[in-house]
Amino acid sequence: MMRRTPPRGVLGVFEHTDQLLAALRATQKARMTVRDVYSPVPLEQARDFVTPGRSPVRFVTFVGAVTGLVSGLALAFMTSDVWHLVVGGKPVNSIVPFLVVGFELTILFGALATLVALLVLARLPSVAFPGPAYREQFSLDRFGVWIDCAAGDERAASDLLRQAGASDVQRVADAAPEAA
Amino acid sequence: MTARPLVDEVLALTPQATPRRLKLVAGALIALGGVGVGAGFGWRDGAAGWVALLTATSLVIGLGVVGTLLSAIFELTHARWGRAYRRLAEASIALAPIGLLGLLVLLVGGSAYLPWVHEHPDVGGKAIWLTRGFWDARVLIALLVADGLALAFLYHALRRDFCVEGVAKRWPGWPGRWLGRNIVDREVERARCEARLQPLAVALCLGFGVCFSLLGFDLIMALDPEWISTLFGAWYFIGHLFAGLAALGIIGVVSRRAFKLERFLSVERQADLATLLFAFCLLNTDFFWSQLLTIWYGNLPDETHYVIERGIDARLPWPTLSWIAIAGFFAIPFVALLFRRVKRSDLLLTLLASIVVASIFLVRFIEIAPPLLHLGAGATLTEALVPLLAAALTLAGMLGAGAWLYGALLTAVPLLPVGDPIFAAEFGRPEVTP
Repeated sequence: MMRRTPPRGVLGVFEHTDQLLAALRATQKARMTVRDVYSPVPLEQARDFVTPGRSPVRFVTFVGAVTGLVSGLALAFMTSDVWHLVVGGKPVNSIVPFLVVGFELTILFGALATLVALLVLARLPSVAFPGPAYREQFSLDRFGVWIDCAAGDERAASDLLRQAGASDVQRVADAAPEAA
Repeated sequence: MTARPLVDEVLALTPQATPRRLKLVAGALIALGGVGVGAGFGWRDGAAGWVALLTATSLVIGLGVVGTLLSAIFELTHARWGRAYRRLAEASIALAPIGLLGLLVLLVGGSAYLPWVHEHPDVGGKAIWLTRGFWDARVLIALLVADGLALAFLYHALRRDFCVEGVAKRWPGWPGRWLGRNIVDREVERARCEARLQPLAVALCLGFGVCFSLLGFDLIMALDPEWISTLFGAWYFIGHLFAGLAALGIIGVVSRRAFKLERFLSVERQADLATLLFAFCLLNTDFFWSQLLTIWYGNLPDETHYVIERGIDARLPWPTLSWIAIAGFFAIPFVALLFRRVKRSDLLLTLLASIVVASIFLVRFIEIAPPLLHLGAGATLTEALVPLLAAALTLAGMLGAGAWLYGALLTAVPLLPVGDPIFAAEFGRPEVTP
């Protein structure tokens, strides 16, 4: 998830996944913050290094689901009560069939809340993509690690990336973003 | 082609002999099973013994096939995440002979407990369907077909592993020689096994549904011949899938520690398995509710007495057990599996999966016991608990015997599916360390 803070830190460019993962591990060990990772292929091992803690989406899903459950049950109970909908000689208000309505709206509201939360929190659709550190080669045959750090820590971050095998290291603020 | 280091790694992890601790636990469980059967047949008129045998067998026959079925599902869906679980799941075929043995005992003693044998021949309008001989043959054939399909799938999955260079050399004895026989060109034979696994997986999925629906109708629903539910077969086999998946979760946790499989059965994969368990929790409950809803709306006395006896009539002990079972197969796993911590924790997931397996067992008991025990109004919970305990111990004994065979099977074949191309692609490269 991209945060809207001024571009800073350093970008390391790697030729191999081994080097990329080594850099990520070293970054984690040095307690530096990985702002983003670029890869031309899905790289599951890198995911954990950029996953920003616990996502608040799940709370929104939960609220949506509970709202759906309450709404579904309320809809069934209240309409039956108002219109006296007698089905099969059963009591007007019966929990057995109404739970189905409640369940359906639990899923519907939960799913919609998840989608909305995802779009809002990820700030999608993003007109700023791909961001200041992106390079075209990251969609071809190179990997990138963007370490977020203050100006005073840039040297240490650059050394760390080079030791991990970076073929190129740049300050993100200096590098002009290329077209995607 | 599977990378050489991966094959060597898997062969090194595969145990040489059944772990001693497993043998001890299995032996203790078998002894408990003997106590359970003895207690069941020794209590009152001995009906509890048949309840115990039928309850345990109806679960064990399903668990004997469902592991291979899960492997077949992985094969069909090309799922990457569950690849390392395949062999651990497939090895549950070790329960198949135990289940078959239990079924043979039930067939031999059928006249002692089947209610329709001594009732009017046209009970429930099923005069032809419920006759000894036809019923015996149907039940036996259904189980043999399901077991046969599972074994055929397993044979090709194992033979594909034995096509990998170096695997056959590890097992010079008869299982290895048999699985690796007549292999001239490894790649050609591997491709041949690969081509057969897909249709066999489809056949196993369909065969499992059909055979276990029939077994559900005949072994359990027929105990109350006047009660009919066309959904019962599906409810029966989906319960096996749910329980089998939960059992695989327990086996995964235990195996990761016992066989040092951390690289293959990572915490992430465990969480994936738990997520699937959550899905099956909903599916299983969906089948339960669909059945209940239909009976509730229809309100036909032939159908409602089944639900009233087990879920409503407070003068009987069954409603209490039913609510415990519903909590076990729905409420507890539904809430617990919402939490990532539960899915990633060895202890919590094992506990939760054990609750799921126990609750499916309890469901089977509640379905089987009432028509055989004939507990009247005012019966205490204790009168149901003695047969329940006997059934639980019998199940423990059968699982113990199965665990013994399971351990032996895991020493006779690679512990992980080295011949599976997706497994090889997933784990073929050694882990990168800085």
